[in-house]
Amino acid sequence: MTELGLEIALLGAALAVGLAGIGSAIGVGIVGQSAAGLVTEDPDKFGQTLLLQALPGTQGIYGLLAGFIIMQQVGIIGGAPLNLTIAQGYAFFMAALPIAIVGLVSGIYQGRVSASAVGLVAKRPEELGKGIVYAVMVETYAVLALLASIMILFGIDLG
Amino acid sequence: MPSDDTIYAYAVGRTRALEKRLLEKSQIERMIEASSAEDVIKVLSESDYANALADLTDIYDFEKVLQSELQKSLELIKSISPKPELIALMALRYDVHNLKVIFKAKYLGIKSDLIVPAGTIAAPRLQSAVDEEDFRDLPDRLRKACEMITEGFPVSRDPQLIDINLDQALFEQLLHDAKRLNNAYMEGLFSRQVDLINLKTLVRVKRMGLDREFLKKALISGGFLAHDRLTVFIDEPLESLITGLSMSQYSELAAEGIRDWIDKGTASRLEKLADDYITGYLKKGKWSPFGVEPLIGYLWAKEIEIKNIRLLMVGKINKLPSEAIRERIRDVYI
Amino acid sequence: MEIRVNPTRMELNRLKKRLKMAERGHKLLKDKRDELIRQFLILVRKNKELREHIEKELSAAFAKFLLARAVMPAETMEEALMYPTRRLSLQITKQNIMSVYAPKMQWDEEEAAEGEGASIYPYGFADTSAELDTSIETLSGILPSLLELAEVEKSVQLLAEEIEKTRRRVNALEYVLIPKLQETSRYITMKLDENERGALTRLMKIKDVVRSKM
Repeated sequence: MTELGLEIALLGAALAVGLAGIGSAIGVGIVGQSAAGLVTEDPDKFGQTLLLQALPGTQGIYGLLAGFIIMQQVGIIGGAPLNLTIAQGYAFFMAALPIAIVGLVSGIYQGRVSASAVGLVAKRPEELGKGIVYAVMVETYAVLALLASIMILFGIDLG
Repeated sequence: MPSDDTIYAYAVGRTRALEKRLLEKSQIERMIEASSAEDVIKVLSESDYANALADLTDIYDFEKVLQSELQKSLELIKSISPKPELIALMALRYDVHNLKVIFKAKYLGIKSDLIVPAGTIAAPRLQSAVDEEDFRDLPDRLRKACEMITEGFPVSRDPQLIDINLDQALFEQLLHDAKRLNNAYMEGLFSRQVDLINLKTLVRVKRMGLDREFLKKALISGGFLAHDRLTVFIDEPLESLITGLSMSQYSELAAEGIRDWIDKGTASRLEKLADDYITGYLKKGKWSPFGVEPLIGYLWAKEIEIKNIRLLMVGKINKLPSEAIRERIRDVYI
Repeated sequence: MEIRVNPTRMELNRLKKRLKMAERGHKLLKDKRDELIRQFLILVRKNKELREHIEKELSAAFAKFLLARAVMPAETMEEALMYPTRRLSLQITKQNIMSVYAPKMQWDEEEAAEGEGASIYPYGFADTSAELDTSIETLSGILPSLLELAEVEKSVQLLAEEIEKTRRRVNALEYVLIPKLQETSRYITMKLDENERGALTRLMKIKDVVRSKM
């Protein structure tokens, strides 16, 4: 007999990938617009702004990573899905939440910081590093969330 | 969360690049020290003005270049702004200028070439509106002002009425529109402009020896300083105006600018400080990464820059001493 | 250089009359010249004062105007001054200074038609510089002096011409006509004397001849 555990776990995986991805997409989108504005007037800034644009993209990757681990743990990737109890399913779901939520929000805010850094690069191209540092500060919390998600994932008892 | 303001991301990014091309303090300083108008042009030719100046055959035509540069910036910012109607507010005063010209030309029975093409309404439409005394196409406040002029002028034949009515209507319209578009930043800008104009008007009317009734008619409404507070100073020495303003946000400006006006009999310091005050206000919004602030700031910066270039050119052509030019040069925005 | 005349007594009388007339004219013209110069000096002094005053005021007004112009766009400046509130009607009549017809100006400053209370400043305050006010005020105050200066300057010029003309006439009388007349009358006198002496000699000769024949 099958329980709904697997579906709940997969919902978690989907949220991790989806929400973090949305966050990244919005973030990258904002930076992209801002960078496009700058590059219209000053095409030489393309390389630097591209770097800034890439920064909010990591949340999506973290989300994917978390989703991937869930999928592997529940056996979707191996082709032999486990039969999870509802409790186990929820455990996976919970594990996905940190990176899903933090990924969404931090992706957007990192995008905003990066877009501001585009303004910084417009004025002082040599200060690109500092702009990146500001954006990366936001990244910290995505990394922490990813860490939490992974720790929970590996702590789930599948026995 | 995604909010409305990120629609400005592109425009702000682009404005950042534009800001970088504004003249820097050091360039202005070099132009102040230049020995002739030709040297000023030389410095400008190393800047963003190079292209525009390449076509300049006669040095006395520099006004046209400045005007077209200003207009270009206005159009560019309008085109990249996701809400062009906000930027259009910055161009409304050209409509008012054109209306003044058209009215005066009509009553003088002459043709005038003082029309500026930077306005939001095409000049021929303004012309036919004035000719037919049908102002339905105009924004509400301007329409009322125009109707007042067509009624009042044939009786009084005082050209000052045209200017005063239209100036008042301009700021009423601007404040009304800024409020309607929910933009507190621009409201703040226009209110401050009104206050500064009113302050200057008060001192000027006083110097002209005109009375309180006249001042009441000349003041523009919509500022932070209430008219009653201003009109009382018409019968009092200017010193008391400085004390009267000491509790307001204009205390420093008044202390320095009005003091200078009393001592030297010239308003140049106050006028410079007033422009710098607006620059200071707009600078506060300069680093907002998303929003209309940097765009408005850039337009103002361009306006100030052009004011400075005009001052430099007129000054150098007429051999004004560098000091006289320097003390009138406005602070730069960047 | 003497005048070709018949050395007759009638001619002499005529010449003497002309000489007397010339001398009288000379004296009169000299008086006229002196008076013209006196008037001229007065006017020149007045002219100098006015001119200095106006130049000072004007250069101050222009300096202010320039500063206003430096902080206002050209089209705003021109729009501000486009419609004048004052109209000036000027009437020029003649006045007689020592028979020189110098212009006399009379002007009326009319406030713009029926407009009552229109100030001299035809513009609003929002986009004009306060330095323009000072400039306009000075220029408006200086207009009567400017018209007066035009009047005085033209009078001085006309007087100078008249003085020059009179001086030439005085000189012509003094150095040409009067000496010439004097010379000619001297010549006629001498000629008449000569004729008289000739006639006398002739008479004495005839007397001798008649006496020896007797």
